[in-house]
Amino acid sequence: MAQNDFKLAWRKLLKNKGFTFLNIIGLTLGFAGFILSYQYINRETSFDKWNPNYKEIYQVGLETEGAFTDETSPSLAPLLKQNLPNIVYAGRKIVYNYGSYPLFGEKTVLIKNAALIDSSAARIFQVENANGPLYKNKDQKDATMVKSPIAQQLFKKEDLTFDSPHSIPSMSLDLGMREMIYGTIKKQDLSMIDYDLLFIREPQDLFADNNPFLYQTFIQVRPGTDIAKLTDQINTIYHKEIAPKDKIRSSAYAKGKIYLDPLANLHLRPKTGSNTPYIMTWIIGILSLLILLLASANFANMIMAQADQRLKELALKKILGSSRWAIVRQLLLEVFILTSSAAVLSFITLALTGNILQRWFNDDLRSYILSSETIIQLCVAVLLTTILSAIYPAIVLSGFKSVNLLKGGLSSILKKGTFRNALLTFQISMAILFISGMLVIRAQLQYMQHTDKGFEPAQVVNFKGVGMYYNKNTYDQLKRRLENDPSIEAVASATNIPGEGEQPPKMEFSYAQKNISFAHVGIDLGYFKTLNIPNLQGNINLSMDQLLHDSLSNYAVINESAAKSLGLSNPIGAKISGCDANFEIVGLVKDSKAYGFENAVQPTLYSFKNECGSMRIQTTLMVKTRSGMVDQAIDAVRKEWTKNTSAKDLPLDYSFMDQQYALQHKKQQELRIAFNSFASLSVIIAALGLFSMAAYQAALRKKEMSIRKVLGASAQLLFVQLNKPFFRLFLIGIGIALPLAYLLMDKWLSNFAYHVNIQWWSFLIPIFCIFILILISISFQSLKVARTNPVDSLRDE
Amino acid sequence: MIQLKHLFKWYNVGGTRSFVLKDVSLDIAEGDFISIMGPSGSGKSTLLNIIGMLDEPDEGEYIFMDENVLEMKAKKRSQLYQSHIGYVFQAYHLLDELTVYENIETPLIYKDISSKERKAIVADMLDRFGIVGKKDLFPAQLSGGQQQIVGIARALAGSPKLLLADEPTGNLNSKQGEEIMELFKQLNDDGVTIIQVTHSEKNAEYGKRIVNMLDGQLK
Repeated sequence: MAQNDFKLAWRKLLKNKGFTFLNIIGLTLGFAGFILSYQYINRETSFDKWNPNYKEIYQVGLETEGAFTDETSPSLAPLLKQNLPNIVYAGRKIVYNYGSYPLFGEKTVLIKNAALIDSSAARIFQVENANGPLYKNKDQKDATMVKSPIAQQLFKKEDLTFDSPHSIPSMSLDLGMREMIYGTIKKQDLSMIDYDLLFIREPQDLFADNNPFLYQTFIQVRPGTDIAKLTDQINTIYHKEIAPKDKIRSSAYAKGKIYLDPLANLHLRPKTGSNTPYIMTWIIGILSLLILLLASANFANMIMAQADQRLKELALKKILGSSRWAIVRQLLLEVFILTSSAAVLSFITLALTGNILQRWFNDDLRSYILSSETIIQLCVAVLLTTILSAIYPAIVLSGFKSVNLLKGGLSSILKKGTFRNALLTFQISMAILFISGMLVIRAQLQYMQHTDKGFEPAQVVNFKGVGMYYNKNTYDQLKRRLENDPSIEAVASATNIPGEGEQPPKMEFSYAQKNISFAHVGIDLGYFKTLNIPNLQGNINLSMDQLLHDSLSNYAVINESAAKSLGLSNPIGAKISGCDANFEIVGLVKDSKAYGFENAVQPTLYSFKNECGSMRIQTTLMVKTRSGMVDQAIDAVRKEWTKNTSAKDLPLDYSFMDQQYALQHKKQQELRIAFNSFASLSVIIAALGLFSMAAYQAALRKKEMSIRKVLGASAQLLFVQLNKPFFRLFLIGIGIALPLAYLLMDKWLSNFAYHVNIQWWSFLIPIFCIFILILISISFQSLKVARTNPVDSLRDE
Repeated sequence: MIQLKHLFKWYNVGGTRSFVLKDVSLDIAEGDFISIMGPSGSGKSTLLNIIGMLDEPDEGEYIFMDENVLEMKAKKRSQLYQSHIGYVFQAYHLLDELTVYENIETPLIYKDISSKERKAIVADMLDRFGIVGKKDLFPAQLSGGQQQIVGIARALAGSPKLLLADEPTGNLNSKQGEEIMELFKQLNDDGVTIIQVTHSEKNAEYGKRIVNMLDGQLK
């Protein structure tokens, strides 16, 4: 019996090759889209999940006036461990921000990704040495490690066992500095602590409580600790012991409150960062589910349409003695064959194109796809789709009176098909939704790329780490020499570089008895020229002489937002104090969206003597090149670089500011790609659905159309008749999609402090496209109907 | 074999009843060959459907081989139907994606007959109707007459006691129709009870008895 069923099912599928093909393709696309999205979500939410103490780890930060920072004093962690018994470990971390860290081994390696953690942090994050224990004996103070591929470049093969630690020159051959490497970092699953070079040592309290370096603080608490209570306790300790101290006092956060951010949130939505990754994960999750639903709904629709055409066959089988269950089983089998083929096809497609997709998404995409989880998900999807598609037609159809079906008297009842209409409307509205979303996202991204940012990143080359190898005098001399080069327009350095992602610190200032917090950037004389930040008032281009002359004065420049918060329309000459200095404002500049479009521009104060943070070294050299002379400019810098003995054998590390800046919106770009793919998918699926529904409707109403033709209807009238039900659905689809699209897009745009307005054509274009799509599908069918001889379909009377 | 007692069937049309069958009573003995004749709309097909257990009357009794059909459970009824009754349609209604062999085999599969037995029975049928050479063809490749013969073979595969035919020669030309009716006569001589619905006087003559119907009543 099963063999017969299978034979039947196979022949049926072969008979309608076109239909079968379309069906499978639509479903395959849906499955593939779903798998891709799901693995992305899986990956993004898996960071540190493998850590056995995942739920007990928190980051300690400060908040004030709605702003958050994760920069804390290094004294905080040991204080907490000492005083709070509920804290198992308290560790610190600081990322090496001064460009690349060079290591001179067998090969010279520029480490772009380096950080320092203490032993407690290493314990918290389960950092391990692949060659043995982290600390081999009591006297070992450091446990610095590198990643395995780096180690292979730095050391001879026989040294890779790290029986004893190896010392290699670092930073600058001239200076004779060396770094002791104790082993290779043991490979763990995805984690926040992911660095090529990991210094593991206790932060030197060189400056005791005046350590100007700010670290990230992490704690691991005992299970069952009351977090709210703990937060208060930490807050008390902070305000009693740390806030009153010097450097911290100037920071706006000294008045703030402690908060604890759980490890689970740190990758996707840390309080101090943007929560865009988190939103992205949700969006992609929902989108992929929608696509899967779309594909399944489409599939179900097509199956049902086909089933209706087979009513006679089903009725006959019943008359010949088949039980209802046998008929249902037959249908289930056919559907199952189709869905499994689609699943297999999607799996193969993904496996084959994995390499290409890796370039767009993430590097370990392929291994994620080819995992057992994917296969399980596919099986579940196949099962669900089979049930969804087969149950309705199976149960409904097999319940009707067979004899009536034979005489064809049931077509009128089936014409209603509300379920099928609902599915088609769903497909249409989703397609409209996706296309309009795609257009809005595109508009916003283009806006961010092309609109006036308040500064000009194009033509600016960032040379990382250069400042480390000069002192103040030689640095200034270098800058003068470079400015004389014909290919270079201007040169500058600063404590914060636009596009590097890090926001400048907020410091407390007072003006006219009011306390205001500004972001502070330490700059040099060439800053505004290099970045092309327009000067609005006063003189921002101080001469060297003036600075030297007034060695006791502190000059500052503020931006528009700062002036607004001061309430001054002409702030030139105003006196502001902060960071233990009295500033005189000599210039007003335009707001610059240096840190992306998501956050509004902070009121900022620029000063020339870096009063507010002596450890924020201006290591990156920004060079504005003359148009078309980028290569010459880089060569000029390189020539200077090789002349510097401290930087012997050190390669020059540079990047282009506009590319770096664009990276800030990497997540948005990813969203755009995702949306584009989903939009195309949904349109294809909707097209498939429309086409098959049109074919089905035409077949169903063949008799009616023939009668109308005989009665004298013209081809146009027939066309309109056939189209009417579709356009009704189309209008309903618009009614659902438009408000939804508007709501969603509005919400997404509100994530950006600066965004485009939703244009009416973002909705008109998708409507138009779907309209054309419907027309094409219907025209195809109605042409066929218009050409058939009415006699052929009116025969059976 | 069959006793129909006071069958009524009606449709409610806006309040009033429109009768398809009005007080129909009929007795059919085993080995009978009955032709039911009447103009269109007289209820012939409905009557045939009721006899064939494909439909139910609104009132009345139906005794089939001493069992009250209308009071039977649906499962028992379909079992009864499967084992004793074969149906031949006017429009053949063959399964398009099955070969001639498989079409004839289909009712046997639903009866849970073993594969070996099925082969034997189908081979027998093919032989009897002289269509052995066509066993692997699809219905689309046969002429109307040949398709009807396959339909009859299918109806007979289960060795039914009763053969019901609804206008079996309606879609055939005169020669093909004659062949079919000769076949029926032979079957009847072999002991199969046949009830046929027909328009044609000529076809009716092949039977042993003629029953006339008009407006749902026997005349």
